[in-house]
Amino acid sequence: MRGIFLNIHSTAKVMLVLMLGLAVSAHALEIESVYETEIFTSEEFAHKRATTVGLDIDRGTFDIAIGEASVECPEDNFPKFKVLRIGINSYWLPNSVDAEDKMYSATVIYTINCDVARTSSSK
Amino acid sequence: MLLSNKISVVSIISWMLLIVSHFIFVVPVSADTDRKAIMKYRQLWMEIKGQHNQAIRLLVKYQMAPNQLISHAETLAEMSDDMLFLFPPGSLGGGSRALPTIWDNNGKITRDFIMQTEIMRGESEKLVAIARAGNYKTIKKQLFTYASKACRGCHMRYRGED
Ligand code: HEC
Repeated sequence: MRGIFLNIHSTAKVMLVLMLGLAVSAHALEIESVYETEIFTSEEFAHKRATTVGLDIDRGTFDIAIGEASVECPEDNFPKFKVLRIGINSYWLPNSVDAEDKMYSATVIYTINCDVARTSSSK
Repeated sequence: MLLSNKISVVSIISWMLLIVSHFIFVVPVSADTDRKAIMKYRQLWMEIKGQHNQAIRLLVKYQMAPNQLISHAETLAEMSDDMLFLFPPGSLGGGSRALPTIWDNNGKITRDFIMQTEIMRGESEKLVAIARAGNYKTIKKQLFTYASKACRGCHMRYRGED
């Protein structure tokens, strides 16, 4: 009889610990994302634009990245952003005739780091 | 006293404590039960909205199921009107991140908080219209604008840290 008492008591303790663990469970999320700039007539212009966008992303003031973070981790008030690299794309649009018509855009590749915390559900 | 007797006394006391604590936590005054229930409901409700957003995000990313996308957006728009019901006076504390500035000194929801819910309705209605038009690129753009202006806008003002 005594043994059963002790056993149930320790089960209750384990359950308490599990429930506490559930209540504070939080995990970090890292998402890699890409922003492509408008199309420009030179690589230099495209790069310049990407640099400006990149600064905004790093500072956490770039609307699109903020919106994306708000969708991916709505629990986190302060997601963090970091630019990893900038790439260049080149295009010939339908009306182009020679190499002079080559057009450029830049891609800014960055990460969003945020916490996904569930305070109520079992996740 | 024998060791085994000591253990049984300890376990009986622990049991009594456990039973007493049950009464404290499970049968509180009814107003407090209501308050806790609505706070729990509010968290689930917020999470559901977040999941509708993520569902739209996924459908946009893989350019699938335009009709599903529209119904997620419509649900979000319909949910906007529940916002004020979710924040009865005094529904804060106990693990909630809701800030006291949601209410004025008389316990009434402030004008600015109401405005946040109106922003949410406006932006989600725009999302529905854009979803119906079916251009994935503009849907994605409006999804982010909506999440940033409506969801984040209110969270930055009225949701603190845990
Ligand atoms: C008018 C203000 C307001 C708007 C608009 C709003 N929220 Fe919230 N949200 C809050 C407050 C306040 C809390 C904290 C509630 C609490 O902890 O009791 C919260 C909490 C949350 C949480 C955390 C829930 C949890 O499990 O603790 C999520 C997720 C969330 N909101 C998602 C969203 C999403 C997604 C949107 C937009 C579709 C949104 N919210 C719009 C005010 C708002």
